[in-house]
Amino acid sequence: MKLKYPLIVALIFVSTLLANNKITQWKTFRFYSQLENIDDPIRKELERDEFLSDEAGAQTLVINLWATWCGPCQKEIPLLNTLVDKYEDENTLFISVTDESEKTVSKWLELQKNEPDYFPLYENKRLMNYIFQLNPQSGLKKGRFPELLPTNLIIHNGELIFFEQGFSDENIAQMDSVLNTINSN
Amino acid sequence: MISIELKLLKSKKQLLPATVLMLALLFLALIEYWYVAGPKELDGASLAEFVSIRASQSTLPALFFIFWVLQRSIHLLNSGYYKMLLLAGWPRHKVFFYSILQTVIYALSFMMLNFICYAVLGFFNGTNPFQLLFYTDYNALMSQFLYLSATGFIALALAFLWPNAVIALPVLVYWLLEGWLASFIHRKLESNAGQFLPLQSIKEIISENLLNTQQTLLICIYTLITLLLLHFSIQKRMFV
Repeated sequence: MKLKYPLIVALIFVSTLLANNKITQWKTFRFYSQLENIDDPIRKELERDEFLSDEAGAQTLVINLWATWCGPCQKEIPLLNTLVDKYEDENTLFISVTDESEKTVSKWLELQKNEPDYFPLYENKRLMNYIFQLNPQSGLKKGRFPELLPTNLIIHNGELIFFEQGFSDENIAQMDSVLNTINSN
Repeated sequence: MISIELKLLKSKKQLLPATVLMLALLFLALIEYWYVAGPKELDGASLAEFVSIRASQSTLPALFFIFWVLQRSIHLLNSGYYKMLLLAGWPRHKVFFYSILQTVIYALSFMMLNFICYAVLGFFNGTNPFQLLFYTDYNALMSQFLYLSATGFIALALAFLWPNAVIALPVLVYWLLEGWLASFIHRKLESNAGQFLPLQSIKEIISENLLNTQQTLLICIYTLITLLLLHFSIQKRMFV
């Protein structure tokens, strides 16, 4: 039985898939090379938000990527709240980004002891993908789901000065120290 | 082959399934505009951008597409259409290519119907078809076409293996079960192992991220298996 026919169709399918993926990759790199500051897409999202548009000009952005199903993200909330109490001012904005809907998060929050004190951005998979790709350690991130949540980063004056994935007390202590240094300058 | 298929699509018998499909797509588009985009209070270009991203990323239309391909192929099989082609002197491999071409044409028609639904509802929600076209990412559209084709091949293989309309029910159950299982593995075990499941790995085609080697390989393997099943089924089948 001739197998060449399904193989031909599979080959055409895969070639088209690879070509499309390559074009998307090229477009992504072109998009990054056009950016003046790495926080441009984040500020653009903030400007579009009804409540956060006034805060879009903050010099320092502390961003937390999370999801309701992520256990470590849950543990991190009280520690991040401490940082918010300590450092949030007109120049420093704390935000959380998730790809889940406001409704899902609200339902989940009803069952929690600790609520985040920082501003949320919901259903923003695109922004999450963009932020994952800022990871200086492993180049361009690929994959549908975030490999490691939570992810925390600090951007100061358009410069990425902190990026850590996963939850640990050390990461929070590092964030504290970075924010302290920024404030003292 | 294309002209034969186009003639077939123009037949009046297509009107009912096409209308049902159109209503289902219209309903999905209505949900997107009213329930998802509504609370965001978007309009004009920003609504067009939001809606076109959602439309190209949504996996649910593929379920309707699977049902459509299933009912079409099963109808053509049971009505003796493929047998007639073989009697007309078509070799079996030509029938294989023809069925693939049918899936491709169905996928394109399906996307066109989907666009019409979004465009029509756009007039009532503060955007217009030109804005929808302008803010559509054509790479995402291509990904959607590839995703629909891959799911269409699965439906086609199933139709040739079990040409019975009842097959739609186990397909629906499997679709729901696999989605639930992947979500369960992801949430409870915090693992991405669910992505290895057939429908989940094919869904990766329309995710916003770039495909890595592992994902591409999985999609290739599942597509090849589906095409081989279809090929063997056409080769060995006693067409009635």
